[in-house]
Amino acid sequence: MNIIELRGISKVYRTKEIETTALENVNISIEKGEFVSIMGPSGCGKSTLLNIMGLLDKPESGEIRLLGTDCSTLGDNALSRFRNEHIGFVFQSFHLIPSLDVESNIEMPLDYRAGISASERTKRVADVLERLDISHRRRHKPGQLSGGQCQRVAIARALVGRPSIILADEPTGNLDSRMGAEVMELLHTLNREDGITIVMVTHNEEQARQTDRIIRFFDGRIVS
Amino acid sequence: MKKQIKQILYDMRTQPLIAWVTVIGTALSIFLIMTVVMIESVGVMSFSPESNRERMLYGMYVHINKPNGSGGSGSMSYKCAERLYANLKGVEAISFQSDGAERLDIHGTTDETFTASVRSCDQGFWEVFDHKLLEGRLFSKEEVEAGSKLAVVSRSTARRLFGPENAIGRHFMLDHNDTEVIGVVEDSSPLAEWAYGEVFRPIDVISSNEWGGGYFGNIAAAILVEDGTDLESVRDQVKNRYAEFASELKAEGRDIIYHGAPFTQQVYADGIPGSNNTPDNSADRAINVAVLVILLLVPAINLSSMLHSRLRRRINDLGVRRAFGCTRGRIVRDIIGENFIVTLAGGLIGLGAGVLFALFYDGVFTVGGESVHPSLSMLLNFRIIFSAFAACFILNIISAAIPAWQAARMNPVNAINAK
Amino acid sequence: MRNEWRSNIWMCIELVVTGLILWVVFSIFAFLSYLHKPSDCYDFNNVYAGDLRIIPKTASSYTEYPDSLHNENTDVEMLLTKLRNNQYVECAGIGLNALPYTFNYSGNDFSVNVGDSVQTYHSANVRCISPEMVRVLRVRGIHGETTEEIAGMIADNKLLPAQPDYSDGRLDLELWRGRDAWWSYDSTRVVHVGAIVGPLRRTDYEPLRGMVLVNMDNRPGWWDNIAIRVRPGKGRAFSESIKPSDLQFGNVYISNLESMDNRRERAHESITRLIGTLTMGASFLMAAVFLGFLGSFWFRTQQRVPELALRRANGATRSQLFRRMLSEGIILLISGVIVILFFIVMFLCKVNLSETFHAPIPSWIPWAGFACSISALALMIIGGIWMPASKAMKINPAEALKEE
Repeated sequence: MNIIELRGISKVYRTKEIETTALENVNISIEKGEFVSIMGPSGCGKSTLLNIMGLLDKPESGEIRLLGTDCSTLGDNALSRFRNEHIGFVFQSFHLIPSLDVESNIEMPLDYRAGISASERTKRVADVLERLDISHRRRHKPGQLSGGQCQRVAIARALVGRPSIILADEPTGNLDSRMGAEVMELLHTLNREDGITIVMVTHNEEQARQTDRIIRFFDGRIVS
Repeated sequence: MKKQIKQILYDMRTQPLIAWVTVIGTALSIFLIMTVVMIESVGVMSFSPESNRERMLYGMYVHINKPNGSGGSGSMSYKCAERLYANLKGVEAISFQSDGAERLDIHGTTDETFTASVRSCDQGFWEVFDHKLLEGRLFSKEEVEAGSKLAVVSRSTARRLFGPENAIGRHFMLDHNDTEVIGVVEDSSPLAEWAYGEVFRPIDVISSNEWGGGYFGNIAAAILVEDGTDLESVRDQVKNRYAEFASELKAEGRDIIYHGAPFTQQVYADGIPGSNNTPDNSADRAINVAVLVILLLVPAINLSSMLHSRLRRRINDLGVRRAFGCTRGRIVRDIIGENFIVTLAGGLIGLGAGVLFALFYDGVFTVGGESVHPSLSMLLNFRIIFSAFAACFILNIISAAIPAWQAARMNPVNAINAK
Repeated sequence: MRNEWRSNIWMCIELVVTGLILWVVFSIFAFLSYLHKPSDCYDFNNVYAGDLRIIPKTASSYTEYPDSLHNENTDVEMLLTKLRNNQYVECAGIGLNALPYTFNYSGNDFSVNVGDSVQTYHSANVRCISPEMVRVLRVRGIHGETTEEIAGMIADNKLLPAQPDYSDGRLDLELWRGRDAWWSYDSTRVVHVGAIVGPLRRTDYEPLRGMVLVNMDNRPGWWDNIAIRVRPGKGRAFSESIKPSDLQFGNVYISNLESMDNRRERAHESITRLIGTLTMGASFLMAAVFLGFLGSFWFRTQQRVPELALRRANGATRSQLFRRMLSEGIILLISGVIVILFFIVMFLCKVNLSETFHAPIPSWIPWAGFACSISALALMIIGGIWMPASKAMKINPAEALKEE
C-alpha cells in the first residue's frame, strides 16, 4: 500500500525579479515501510519536495495523498494536526529549542496533541529516551550536547508522537562520519523494527545505497 | 506554563537588555496608569467613615438671580438647606453640616494652641457617616437646637488638648468659646472630605451666618439614600422642590437656577466648578481616557517592538513547532500567554511602585491645598488591583497581538531555514 | 532602514504621538514661565500674614466694651501696638483683602472723565489698605513713587490703580493720574487718583484683570488681614517666640499667622501640582522613547553584525559605523518632526489660543514648545542609540566574519 503518493507536483518560487521552477510535474509513490533516499545536486528541489511531502509547503499544482488522505484540500489547522499525528521531522541543523532541556524538547510534539494524559506523555518520553540511550542527558540543554547527541534528541522528538512517516533532511550533514553512521543505524532500526516509512534527503552516496530506493533529482525533475 | 517561564528566563539570560527594557517599560506604564487610577478611585470608593459613598448625594450651593442679571451664589443657609433637602422620600439619613471644615484656634490644658479642622454638623451627621466612637457620646438633636457648646474630638486631637488624661467632660477653648468634650472618635483621613474633622461641634441653626436675604450661609447637605432606592428618584424630588422654590421667588422678582444638585459621589469627585455653574466633566473624563490610552499605547509600541525582536531570534523554534503540528492559533496563544507573564511581572513592579508613591510622595493626594496620604487599605482594594490586572492584560494584547499574528503567519519552511 | 520598515514606521508613530504631547507640555511650561510675574513694586520677604478676627458676642470669652469709645478698632490699635513693641517686628499693618495669595475677588467699576471721553476700569479688585500696611508691604509706584509717598496718598484717601495685564486698549491709566474717579457709576462717590502702582496678583501666575488700592473704611471690624514685617534674619526667632497671648487683644485676635512664603506655596499648590503631573508624564514619555530606541537598535546591531563586520573589513572606521547608527535615528526623528510640524500648523490655524485661554498668549509660545519637544526627543534618541552604536563600533571584523 502506498503511504505517500505525489501526483503532478509542481512548485514555482516567485520574487519581484525572478521566477524559479523548483519542481516540475513530479510523481512519486512510496510504500509503507520503505526507506527511500532522495539525491541530487544543490538547488535541484530535494528539500522543496521533502517540505511538500511533509505538508510544510503547498505545491503550485498536483495532488498529495498521505496514508490514503487527500491532503491537498486540507486547511491549515487540519494539516497541522495531520503532521502532528503522522509525520516526524529530522533536520540537518537539529533545530532543537535552546531554552528547553532534552526532555522538554522531546515532549514538544505532544504539547500539540489532544487526548494524551500527563502520565502517558511522561511515559512516552521516558520510553524514547531509554530507547535512544539519552536518559542520562534528560536535564541537559541542547547547548551542552554534542552534535550526535543533538541529532539523537531530534530523532527522539520525531519519534515520540509515534508517526507513520519520518522525513529527514540531510540528517548526517552536520555530523562526522562516526556520528553519522550511528544516526543512520538508528534510522534503519526504526525502519526495520517499527515499520516507520523514512524519506531521507542526502548527499552521501554510500548512505543512500543502504536504503531501499534512491530517487535522483535534477532541475526539479526525477531522473531516476 | 512551566515551559513558558523557562523560555522567559532563557530570554532574560540571553537577551538581558531587551528583557529588562520590556520589564521596565511595562513597569513604568503600569506605575503611571495605577497612579491615575488610584487618584480616581480614592475619590469615589467607600472607606470609613464614608463607607456608603455609592449611596451618597451631596447638596451644595444655591444660585439666586434677579431679573437684571445680578444676584449671588454660594453655600446655603440652614433654612434654605432644609427647604430643599429635608424629609425626602427614600432617604435613610441626612446631615446638615458646614460646607467644608474650618481651621479654627483651639486650646486645651496643654501649652499648645493650635488650629484644628472643625466640622460643624447636626445629629444626622453621625447617622450618615460611620465614625467609630471610642469614648463618651455624640450630640443629640436637642443639643444642636439649643446651640450647646459641646464638641466631639478625634483621638489625636484629644491627646494634643489634654495629653494622656481622659478627655470626656473636660473643657477647652474652641474659637474662643468654652466648650465641653462629650465624645472621642477615631481619627479619620482628610480624604473623607465630607466626614473628616478633628473637632465636631453642633451646627449653628440660628440665622447668624445668613446673608443675601436669608438664602445664603455656610450649610451643605450630605444625604444617605436608602439601600435599594434609586438615587435619581431622590434627585428628582429635589428638582421638584427647586421648581416650587422658583415659583415662590418669582413673586419677589427673583429666580433660582438649578445646577443639578444634589450630586453623586462621582460628580463630586470630578469637581464642582463653583456655586454658579453646572458640573459638566465630560471634557475632563475625555482627557482622563485620552491619558490612559496614551499611557497604554506608547509603551505598547515599544513592547511590541521588543517582542518582535525576541520572536525574530526564535523564528527557527517557531518553524519547528509548526512542523510538529502546532497550529497558528496555538502559536498566537502561546506568544500572548508568554508575553502576559512578562507584562504581569512588570505590572506588579509598577503597581508596587505606584502604591509606594501614593503612600509616601507629597502632593499625589491633596485636600484643600494640603498634601494627604491614603492608608494602605484604601489603596489595596479590589477595584485598584483589578484595574492593574486589566491594564496588564490590555497592554499585553495591544503589544503582543501584531507580532504574534505575524509570527503565526510565517511559512514554516521559511521560519525553519531563517538565519 | 528599508529592511526594518515596519519597525521604523512604529517608531515614527511613537515619536509623533510623544512629540505632540511633549509639545503641549513644553508649551504649557513656556506659558507658565511667561505668566510668572511676582508682584513688582512690593516686597514680601520677611513678612508674616494672618487673618484678623473678632470673637463673636456669643462666645464665652467675649468681653463687653465698657463704653462707646472702645470697640474692635481700638482693640486692633492696641494689638498693633503690642506687635510693634516686639523686638523682632519692624512694622505691622491691617487691610481688607489687602494681601496677595488669597482668592477673594470683590470687584468694582471705576470711571474717569479724561476730557473727550469717559474711561471705565471694569471689575477692579478693590484692596483696602492702611498706610501701615503700605509700609509693611513696601508698596511703590511704577513711576518711582516711594513707599512713604504711597502711604501718604493712601492716608489722603486717594485711589491707586494698577495696570491690568491685558485690556482692550480702551483704558489708559496714565490719563487718570491726578483726576477724579467715581465708584460704580455713582458720581457722588468720588475719589482722587494718585499714583499707578504695581499689580498685586492673586497668584504669581494669574494675569491681573484689575486692581485698585484704597484706604481702609474706618467702620469697626471693616478689616480682615494683618501683615507683620519682621526684621531681616529674625523670622525664625519671631515665630518661635510668639505666644497666643501676643496675637490677641480684647475681642480681636490673629488666626492662621504664617509667612508669606507659606501663603505663596499654598496659593500655587494647583500650579505646582500641574507642573509635577506634566513633568512626570513628559518624563515617562521620554523614558519610553529612550527605552524603545535602546531596545530596537540593540537588536538591530546584533542582527547586523555580519554587515557591520563587512563594512569594517572594507575600510569603514569605527566612528563612521557609530555615525551611521546615529544617523538612522536622526532620520527617524526628522520623519517624525515633519509629521509633528504638520499637526501643529493645522492646530494653530484652527485654534486661537488667546481666545481659548482668555488671555493674550505670545505667538512664540507654541514654537518654543516645539523646539523643546524636538530637542528632548533628539536627546532621548541619541541617548538610546549611543550604547548600541558604541557596541557596533567595537565589532571585531575577523571574529564576526569567522562566526558567520
